[in-house]
Amino acid sequence: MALRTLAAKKTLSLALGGARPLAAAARGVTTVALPDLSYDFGALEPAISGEIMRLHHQKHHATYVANYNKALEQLDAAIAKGDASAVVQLQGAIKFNGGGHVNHSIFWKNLKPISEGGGEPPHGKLGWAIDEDFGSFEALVKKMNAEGAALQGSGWVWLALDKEAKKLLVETTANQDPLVTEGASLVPLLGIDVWEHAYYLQYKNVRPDYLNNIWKVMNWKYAGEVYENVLA
Amino acid sequence: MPPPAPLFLSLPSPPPPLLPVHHPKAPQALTLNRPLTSSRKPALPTRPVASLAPAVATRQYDWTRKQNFGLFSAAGDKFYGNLEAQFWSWLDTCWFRIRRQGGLSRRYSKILSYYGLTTPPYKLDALEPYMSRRTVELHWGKHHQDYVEGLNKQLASSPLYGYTLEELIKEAYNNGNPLPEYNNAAQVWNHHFFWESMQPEGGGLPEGGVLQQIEKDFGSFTNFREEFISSALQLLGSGWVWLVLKRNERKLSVVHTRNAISPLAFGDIPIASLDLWEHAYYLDYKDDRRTYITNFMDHLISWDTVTLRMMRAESFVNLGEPNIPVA
Repeated sequence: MALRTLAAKKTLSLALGGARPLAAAARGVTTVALPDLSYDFGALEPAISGEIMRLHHQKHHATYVANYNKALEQLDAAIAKGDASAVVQLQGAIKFNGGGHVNHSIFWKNLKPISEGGGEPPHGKLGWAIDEDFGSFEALVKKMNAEGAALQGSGWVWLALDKEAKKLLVETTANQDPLVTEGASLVPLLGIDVWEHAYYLQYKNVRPDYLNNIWKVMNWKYAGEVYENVLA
Repeated sequence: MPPPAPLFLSLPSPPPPLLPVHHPKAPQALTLNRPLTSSRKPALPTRPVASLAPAVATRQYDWTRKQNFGLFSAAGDKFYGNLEAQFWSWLDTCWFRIRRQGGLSRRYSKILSYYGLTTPPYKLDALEPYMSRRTVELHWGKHHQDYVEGLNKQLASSPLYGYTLEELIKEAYNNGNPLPEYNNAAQVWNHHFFWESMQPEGGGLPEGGVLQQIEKDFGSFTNFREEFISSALQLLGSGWVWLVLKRNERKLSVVHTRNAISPLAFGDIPIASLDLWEHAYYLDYKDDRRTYITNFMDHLISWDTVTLRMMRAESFVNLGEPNIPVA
């Protein structure tokens, strides 16, 4: 079962991202590819159901990748032609789909099955920084849950590192805006997708339950690595 | 052996006076902790001046007039002091206490409900198979209900009182700087509007005047349908897509808005709407937004309601020269 899903994942990503660069690279546009998950779709149960993970990765993220590549090609053509209004008009699609790709790529790395260490609180430098900036780990979780639940519509809630001020912050972005739109010096450590497609099939309208449960599969190790790399 | 003490002497003492006791204008409050004895006569309190009296103070027992209705026998006077005086003072404090807590009725109601949840004009499973009963149940019973309850909770401690829902939306929109009540209020209205924009066995073509107006403003019905679908697909994120009658341009148009915003904010008249928040279609269509939109257009939209709304909108917007028959 796992082998089949792995095979399916690989062929799909090859079809979407792999074949494209050969054609588009001839015109000089570097396109993006759908990244693979390092775990099965069902590995994050019961925090996030396998159905949601499959749809989220294969449909939503794949759509963002495809539309972003298309927008990039159109942008390339518009720049070559010197069509400024077309360039400007494409910015919405690029921000949305490109942001969706960037955000979801981070999101997959933020999650880890419980059996592989998901949910373990952070140790080391990140742990101390959290205690310093938020008081305690529980306070950070409570703050992120509150901001995520209060977010109107669709968006993301982030644990961000301000690399200039060397401080941790909790930020929210709307729709698929990447974290850099909130500040150029912000580096995302953890992101939680609070679009309804990320939890509706399992949690229906109870977003707070989703936010409480996602911490059980949070990959703090990745966040710690990013933190130490940026501040090194 | 002293006669038995009246019951009110054992009740809790009244709250302290609002003016400090040493203040020259403070009335001398008679406390029941220390009932009057005949050996010590109380100093006569000055009549409290109305403007300095606390706002909730009412009729004070007027010592200067020494009213005595003969409610108590004189037998207890020796031991308890002037019972009548104390009784009236105690009664005054009861009013004082009630008024201070805001009256008796507010004591028992915690939340004043201002707006209610309206019901869709069809059964919950009437829109199958294009919108499942489960979706309508959740969408109306949980999401719409939560917006209503959230709005009422916010309004319990908000100065926005006494508006109709549309007025409240306009007020809370605050010309682009929405107040915290805006989201809940707008979503309550939007969802009510949305339920009424649909009907079982809807879709198809409108008739008569509405069709004429659509053909005038969009070229043809097919054009309108394509424009509606493409506008809905162009919306990124959560929002709504509307068939709206624009007041200034005096024509029908298709617009999409983000999150909770509705054309009411721009002063236009909405005619039909489609909810593009993911909770509206995710259970039925997962990520296939296009099918949801085309199904709405082909099978759900209620042209009868659209006709009624257009009829009402025509009283606000002059859509053209009237056809006055010449005799």
